[in-house]
Amino acid sequence: MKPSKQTSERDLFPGALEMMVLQTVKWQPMHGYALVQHLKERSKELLQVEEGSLYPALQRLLREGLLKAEWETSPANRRVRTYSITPAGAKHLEREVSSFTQMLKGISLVLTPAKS
Amino acid sequence: MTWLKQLFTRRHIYSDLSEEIAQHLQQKADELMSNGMSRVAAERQARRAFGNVALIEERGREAWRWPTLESIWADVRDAMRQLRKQPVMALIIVLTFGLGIGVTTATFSVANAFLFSPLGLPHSENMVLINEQQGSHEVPASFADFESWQQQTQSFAQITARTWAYLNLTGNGEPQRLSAARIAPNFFHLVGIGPAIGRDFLATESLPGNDHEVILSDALWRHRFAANRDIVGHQITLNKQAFTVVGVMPIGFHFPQAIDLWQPLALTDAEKNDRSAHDFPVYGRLKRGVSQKQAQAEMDRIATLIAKEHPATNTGIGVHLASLAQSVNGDLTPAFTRMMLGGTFLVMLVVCANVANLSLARVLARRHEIAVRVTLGAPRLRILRQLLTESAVLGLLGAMAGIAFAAVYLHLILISMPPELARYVYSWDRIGLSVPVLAAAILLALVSGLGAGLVPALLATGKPSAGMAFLSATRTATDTRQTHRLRNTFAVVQVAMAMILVLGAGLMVQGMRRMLVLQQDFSPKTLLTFMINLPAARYGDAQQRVAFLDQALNRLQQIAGVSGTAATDCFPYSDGDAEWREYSVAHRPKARGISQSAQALTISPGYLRLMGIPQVRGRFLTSSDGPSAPPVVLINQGLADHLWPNENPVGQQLRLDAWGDHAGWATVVGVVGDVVNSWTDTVAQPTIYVPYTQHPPDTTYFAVRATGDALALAPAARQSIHALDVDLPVEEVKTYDRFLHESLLGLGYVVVMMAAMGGITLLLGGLGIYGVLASGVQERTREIGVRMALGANRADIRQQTLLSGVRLFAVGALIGLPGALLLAHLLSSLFFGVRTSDLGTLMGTILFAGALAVLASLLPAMRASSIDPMRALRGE
Repeated sequence: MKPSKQTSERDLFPGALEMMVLQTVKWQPMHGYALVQHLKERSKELLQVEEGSLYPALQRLLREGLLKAEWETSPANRRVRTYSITPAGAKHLEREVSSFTQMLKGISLVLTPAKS
Repeated sequence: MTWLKQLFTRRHIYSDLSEEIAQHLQQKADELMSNGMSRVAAERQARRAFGNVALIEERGREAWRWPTLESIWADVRDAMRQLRKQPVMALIIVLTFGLGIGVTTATFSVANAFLFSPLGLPHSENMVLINEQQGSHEVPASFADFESWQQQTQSFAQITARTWAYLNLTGNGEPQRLSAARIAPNFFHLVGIGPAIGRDFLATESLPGNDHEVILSDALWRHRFAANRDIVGHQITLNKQAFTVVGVMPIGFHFPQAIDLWQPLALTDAEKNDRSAHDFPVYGRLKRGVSQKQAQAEMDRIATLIAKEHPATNTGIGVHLASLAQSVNGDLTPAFTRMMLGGTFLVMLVVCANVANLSLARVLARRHEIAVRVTLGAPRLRILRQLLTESAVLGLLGAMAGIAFAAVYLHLILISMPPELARYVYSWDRIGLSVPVLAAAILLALVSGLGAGLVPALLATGKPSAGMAFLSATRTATDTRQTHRLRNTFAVVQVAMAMILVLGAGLMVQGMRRMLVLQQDFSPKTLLTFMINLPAARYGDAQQRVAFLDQALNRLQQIAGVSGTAATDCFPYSDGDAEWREYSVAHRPKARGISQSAQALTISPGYLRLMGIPQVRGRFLTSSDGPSAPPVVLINQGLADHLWPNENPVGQQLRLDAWGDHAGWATVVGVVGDVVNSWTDTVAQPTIYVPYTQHPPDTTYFAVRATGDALALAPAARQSIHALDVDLPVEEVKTYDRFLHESLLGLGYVVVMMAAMGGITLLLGGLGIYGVLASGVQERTREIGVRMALGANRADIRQQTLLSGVRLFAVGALIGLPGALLLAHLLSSLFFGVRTSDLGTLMGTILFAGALAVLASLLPAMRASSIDPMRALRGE
């Protein structure tokens, strides 16, 4: 209920970051730093996500049981926390994506000039 | 229980998060460094890309917290901001709440001590007092009956018995008369509290001759023995015999009440087998799961069996169980306490109505803000929650003010009670702000805060159109009408409740005044009173007592400045000292089980004349009504009218049953005027006066009439008594004025409390009327301006405003009146001097309250009539 002071989040609509995170770790479990890199690369740098803003989103997803996390040792011998999707997360993602697609379709229909 | 798990795992989660972020920064920096950046630059760059680490960690942690709790906290902070914006209004509300909660908390802490834990004994809820029942009278059990019960009952874990004794303590200082409880060996075990120092009595100490041990009360130990722990094991002198102190009870232990020391109950076989001496109060502790009702049923069966076995002594004798609280308080204290609780409930209602009205004004003042938020899509529930949070915060602030108020108030009550009286008020030292009391205060604050805030908050947010209605600068007619009706309702509720309390207070003050006026007939200021108890060891014989009383009265009469002396065992308006006795009338056989009793007073011949009690028929007692003369009694007018409505009572014969058949019939030689002996009697009770020469008592009050200052006679009076018996304690030396003051102290407290509550509600009620009218005038400034511009008379406008104030009062008074009459009825049954038919007080109270209502309406009325039409119209 608090007004958000985080400017970077204003660029994305609520839930967008979560959706992308879920989609990414569904494809492959990974740790936070890798996730940021991945999002940047996949979006071709179009999405300028403040790196840190990922972590609160990860915490929310953890808390809601959509993700799970485990400490592992990376090939570079680093202690990293790897996130993977839970069955509930997968289900949630599916729902979100379909409703997002619906919304996107609706918005683009409105934005496209009507052909009379 | 996931939230519980979370609570414990949170710290773990937070440290994971911190470590994870540190790793992220490290990895980023490493990567940048591998691209050729310096460490310092790389680390700075990594941080810049990451964002504000502290803020992000905080965001991450927030995900794990409880959203409701934290947004409630946000609401509370917001509420505090809002209250700071309107500090005066907030202060008024907090003080109003504080007043109500303070009065309620103080009353509740008294009630808590009196009603719920009157003796402070462990698990006293399953303790009962077991008395025997003779007709409608309850008497203590006989020891033989107690032993029969003990053998037969299955309902009690154990039962115990005690009796009482008075002992004169001599050696080191003034002789002092002490109240002792002689207790069965299991007494302290059943009660559940034993001596704090030393030991309990041994079973062997309850054998006659083996019983010269005592346990002291904490108060006696402190005052008489300077709290010296070494007293245990030492001997003290009681009734001129040596007793060993074996223990000291803990502080605050008063069971039975007003006891200075405990002694083993050592009875001879003859005493043990006696079924006619009803001297032993019996206490029982119910077995777990056995109700008082079941125990009563069992005891009824046992009583029937005993009556069959011992018809001579036990025919018609039943058993009566009373809870300990009931037996300690009697009927009166709970009745008064409940009345006070009821009174504070009304005060709280008035406070709530008042605060509701103020809250309404607050909400209306903020209607723009609320309307804007509703219009912008804020959920209604959200705004409602915020408004209610404000109310709850106000309530809690009020609770703080109230608790402070209650603490001061309780302190004042406690110091206003003289210690020599406080020891008879069993719960006195447990009155205070205990945890349950504080919890109740805070709960009350929350409930009343939310209650008072609910209606205004609903009004501001409830209707779908409310937002728009609030937003429009000129409000709709329905909106105005609705808020007006609501404010009027609140004001009417306040007036109605105030009427109940004010009338109750008025009647009580009037009753008290009446009693004080009647007391002046006895010229209490010139009367010195004191008490003497003649110990059985030296005054066991009736002749010895008569001789002592004769001589004492004689000696007192010799003192310079004494115009008269008398003895009695009960003064008028005493605190329930009058003793009730069964009596029989010659030639009128009594039906079994029908009780016929009167207050029996043993007096000296001069008593009635000394007190100014008038002779109605026949003669007074004289010195010739001596021990060997034919037995005589006097009766009061009430008893004469009851027994012999159409005959001359003089010459009739009656007998006090308790004094046995051998006492013979006494002849009624005179009828005297009615006197209220105990202030708890709502009317004068049937009374029989007996000359002390024929039935000498062991405890007697002396009355010495002074020509001048009564208290100045005290040393001489003490000397006169000590000249007869140097070891006899002279107790409770005070003027009759003081005696009356003390016996009415408890009642005075109730009266003052009621008057205070009446005053508070009346004040709030007046403020309520004022508030409604004042805001009404303010809102209608324009309308009034228009009417004036169109030629309306200023006087008319003033009158109209006044009238609407009076109307509010009249409606409230009408609604409150039935409640007030009900309270009056209750009061008239509680103490002397209060009458339901007291039309003068009734009308006086209504007029007084009405005058206050007019006064409250006057200011708004003046303001309404002084509105400048031009300015009012331009002001729009």
